[in-house]
Amino acid sequence: MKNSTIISKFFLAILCAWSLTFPNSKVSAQEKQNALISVQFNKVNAQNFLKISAKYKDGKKFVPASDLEVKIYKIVSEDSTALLGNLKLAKDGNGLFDVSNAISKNQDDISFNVIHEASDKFEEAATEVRLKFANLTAELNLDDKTAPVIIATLKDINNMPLADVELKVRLQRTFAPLTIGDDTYFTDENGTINVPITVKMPGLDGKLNYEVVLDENETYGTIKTIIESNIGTKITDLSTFDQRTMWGTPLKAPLVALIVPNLLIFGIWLTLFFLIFNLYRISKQKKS
Amino acid sequence: MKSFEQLTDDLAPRKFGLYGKIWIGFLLVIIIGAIYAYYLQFTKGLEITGMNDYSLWGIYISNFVFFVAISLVGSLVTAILRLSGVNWATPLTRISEIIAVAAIIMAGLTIIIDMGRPDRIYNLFLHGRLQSPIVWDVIVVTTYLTISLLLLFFPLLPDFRILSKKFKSDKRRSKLYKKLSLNWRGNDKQKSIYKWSIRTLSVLIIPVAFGIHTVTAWLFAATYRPGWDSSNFGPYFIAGAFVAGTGGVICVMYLLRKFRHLEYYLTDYHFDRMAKLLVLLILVYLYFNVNEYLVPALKNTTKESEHLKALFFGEESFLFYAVIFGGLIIPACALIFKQMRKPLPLFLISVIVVIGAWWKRYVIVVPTLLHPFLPVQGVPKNWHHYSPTHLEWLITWGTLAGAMLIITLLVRYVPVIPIHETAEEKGIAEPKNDTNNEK
Amino acid sequence: MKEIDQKNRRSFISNGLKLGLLTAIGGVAVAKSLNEEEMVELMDTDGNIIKVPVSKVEEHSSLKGDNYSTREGFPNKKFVMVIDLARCKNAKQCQNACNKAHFIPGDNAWLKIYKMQDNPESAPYWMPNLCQHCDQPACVKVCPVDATFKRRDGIVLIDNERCIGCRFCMAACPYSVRVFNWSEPNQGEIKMDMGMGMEMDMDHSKYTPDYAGAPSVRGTVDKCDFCPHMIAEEKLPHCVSACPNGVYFFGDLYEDSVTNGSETFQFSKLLKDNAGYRLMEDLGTMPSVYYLPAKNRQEDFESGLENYTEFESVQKVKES
Repeated sequence: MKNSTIISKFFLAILCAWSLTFPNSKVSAQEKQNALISVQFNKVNAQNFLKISAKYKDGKKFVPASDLEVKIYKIVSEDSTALLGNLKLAKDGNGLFDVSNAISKNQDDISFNVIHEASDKFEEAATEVRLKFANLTAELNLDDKTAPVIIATLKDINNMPLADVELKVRLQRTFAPLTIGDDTYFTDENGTINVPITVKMPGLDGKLNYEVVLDENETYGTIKTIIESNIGTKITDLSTFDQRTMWGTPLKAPLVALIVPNLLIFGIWLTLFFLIFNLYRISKQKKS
Repeated sequence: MKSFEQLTDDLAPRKFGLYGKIWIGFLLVIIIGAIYAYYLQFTKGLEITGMNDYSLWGIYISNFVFFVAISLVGSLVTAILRLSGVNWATPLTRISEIIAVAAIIMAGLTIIIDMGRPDRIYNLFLHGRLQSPIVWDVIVVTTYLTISLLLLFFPLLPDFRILSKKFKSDKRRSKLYKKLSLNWRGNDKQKSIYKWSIRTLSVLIIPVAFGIHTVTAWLFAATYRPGWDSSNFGPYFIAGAFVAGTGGVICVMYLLRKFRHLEYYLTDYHFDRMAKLLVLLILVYLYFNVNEYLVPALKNTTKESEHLKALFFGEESFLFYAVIFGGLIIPACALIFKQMRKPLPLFLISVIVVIGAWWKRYVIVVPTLLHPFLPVQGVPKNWHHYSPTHLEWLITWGTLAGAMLIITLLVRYVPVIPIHETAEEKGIAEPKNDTNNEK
Repeated sequence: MKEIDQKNRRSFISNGLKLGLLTAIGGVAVAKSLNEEEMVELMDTDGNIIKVPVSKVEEHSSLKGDNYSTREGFPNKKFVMVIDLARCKNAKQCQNACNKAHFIPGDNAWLKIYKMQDNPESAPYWMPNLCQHCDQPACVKVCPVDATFKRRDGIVLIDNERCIGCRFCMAACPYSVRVFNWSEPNQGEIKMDMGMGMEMDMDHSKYTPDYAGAPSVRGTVDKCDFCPHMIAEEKLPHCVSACPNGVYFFGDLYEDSVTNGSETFQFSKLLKDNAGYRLMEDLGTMPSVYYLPAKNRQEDFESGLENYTEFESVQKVKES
């Protein structure tokens, strides 16, 4: 692929430059670092992003280029670019940039250039990404009584099916999505996959979000389509938080643990107070 | 038979002689040292002790259990013996109540000393959880202290009155005693309130005393740890407490008799009786010990056997056998002989029993902690053992000295043997004309 | 991108920021448009991207919901961990990461890898051990002041501003996971990663039990906290992400899914297929940590021996 060769050449150049400039080891803080910027195109439902991450080599290992500021350009033609905006990467060296507005409707492909202009800490760095557009549609078919089926179709911008492309089907979960069925599915001649959901999974109020993903494809980038559904089993709260337990808060002590000691305390202390009062009574006795 | 004046002369508190002053000075030196050590602990943290994440409780806690144990004697002598009509124990009631009060005060203090954040003790009242045995312990210790103080104070009322009269020449002192006697005149109404109160307290103190030591036992038995995870622990602790307390009373009895010349009141008969009581209590305690060690040893589960091996054959075996044989079996055997029940030998044996009782608590607390469920790994080598530091010992000695100081001071200012009760029991009438010469 | 007004912003936040984006791409960028406040790009439930000022998002992370309280925890969650003993080779990366992330000052790590052998005939194995976050926690039962507590989401935490240092919880814990700050903790500089590119210096005014060890307090108890400060950002606990072998799986029992960062499994199936078990089940503590037996080991037990230090679990930083 063309764009990938560009990227790899670019990386190679940076690596060469790096190895020439700093022949061994640790780079001191004063000297500028060469950041490696990688750019991925992501399409989630109707939204388009660039996922930008940057890192640099510190000694022998790569570390994220935190807070790196980059400019995102759209390459309009050979020698004309349009600035889309600035982005400051997060602490982990990652950032997302929304490019939805830069894409016109029937555009077939697009190129972006992500540039870091020389800063206090980093040398100038740039990465170009080029991709073609594709549409991934997905829906849940509940007609089959035995199991719901996810039907997803991948087509290019001209509505022609893309066959034999690897897709993943996953269920969204808190920390990482859970693969449904096989690890990967390949689209047939109609650009379609059919994935029956055989395992019943739980979701809050029965809600489950499935996602069909074209993952880091060299031509099309990452395209993700999310299906919201109601087919999950409902979650039942197992927590004893609201119950009276021995491991609860002071007020949520079991009634026995509240009543018995308090009865004992009151019984005994009432007597004790009466006995102390007796001391007073003794002291107030008139002569017999 | 002695006259009432003689009786009052014998039993009224006296100024300390030279030995008494040296003794107080000695205690004060230890206490001041302990306060300094505690100051260090308060500022630097518990790192000044020998404790670590495995030996997370050490001699502070075993000392606490010891104090609670000793304090139980108050209920034994004043309540159990009194209610069961054992009249010979009357002269011992005051001594045992004094010991109980001193021990329970120091028990409370010791548990605070053991805390990592004593400055946050108010959290017990703000956020106390009734699910936690520690909260039960706090409640029952406070209750027991109150009952013990009342049980010490009530019988003192007539005695304070007698003292007030005795020290007429010393106006300030006489007035103070009179105030403390709460206008006691010995009239019928006062007597009836007094008797009812003491009887009620005697009944009340028994469940609370059982409660305090049972709850203390539960601090351990409520955990899963081998060596503590035992349903036998409550009665086992109580039986042990009576042994320790009786030993303590005998020690104090002997010393008082010697230094205050109370042979007329604390006779060989008393010592003989107390010795026999001690034997009985030791036998009961030994019975519980057999249960405590033999049953797990028979089952010999992996975790129990690790703990028991350390006790029977391992690094703690010396202490274990010293305590069982030296502190219990040999004393009990010795006391079978009449000669050993004479005051001096009995005193020496009791000292050994009390020291044994202290180490017995150590043997209960420490070895268990050194044998947790998961292996001891990834911690410094010295964490595999527990050795208390000098400062830790100093603080512990300080609490023991504190208890003894409380006992000594009470002995200095209150009659160690109830004058009024003794007079009543011996049928010595209080001179009538003195009773009602108030305006 | 159009500015949204205050009201919309709030309703958007109260919707719980259920979005695909955070989970999908896992990293939120701070976009600095010219002459504007720092904004964060997030996707709302309708799939629209909105810019929200950083200051707004901070307090309302997605998992935390609207009324997050440290004592109640994340709503509708029940966190579990699965430790696959077959993969553990005592690389100790988990321990190092944990020690570092929690600024562990003492001699005893919160996470330890035990060298285990159940009997002379059976094979030895490495067993990582951390707080089991029991559902019937023995430690919480005995706490006199409600300093250690059990949350709705299953996590057991310690409020070290309330702890009185009685150490009863340590005596009660059968897993020996609790450690005590015997001395003034020497933690060095405590920087807390607040996410979104921000770091925060910790002192007591900012302390929350959600982040154990930041800071530790003399005379109080510490232990593994299951990293609620990471979970809040939908990130895995430090030990999980640090493990080179993917030994640790973390997830939500209610979602029936656990992940080690690169692999994700259905929790119930993982336990079923691998005969998962919990430690000391007979004690009735109901741990939230499950173990998979060391069957079909990936690495030789012996390979872990070179890392094994019987008397050290926290590497001492040289005093400067």
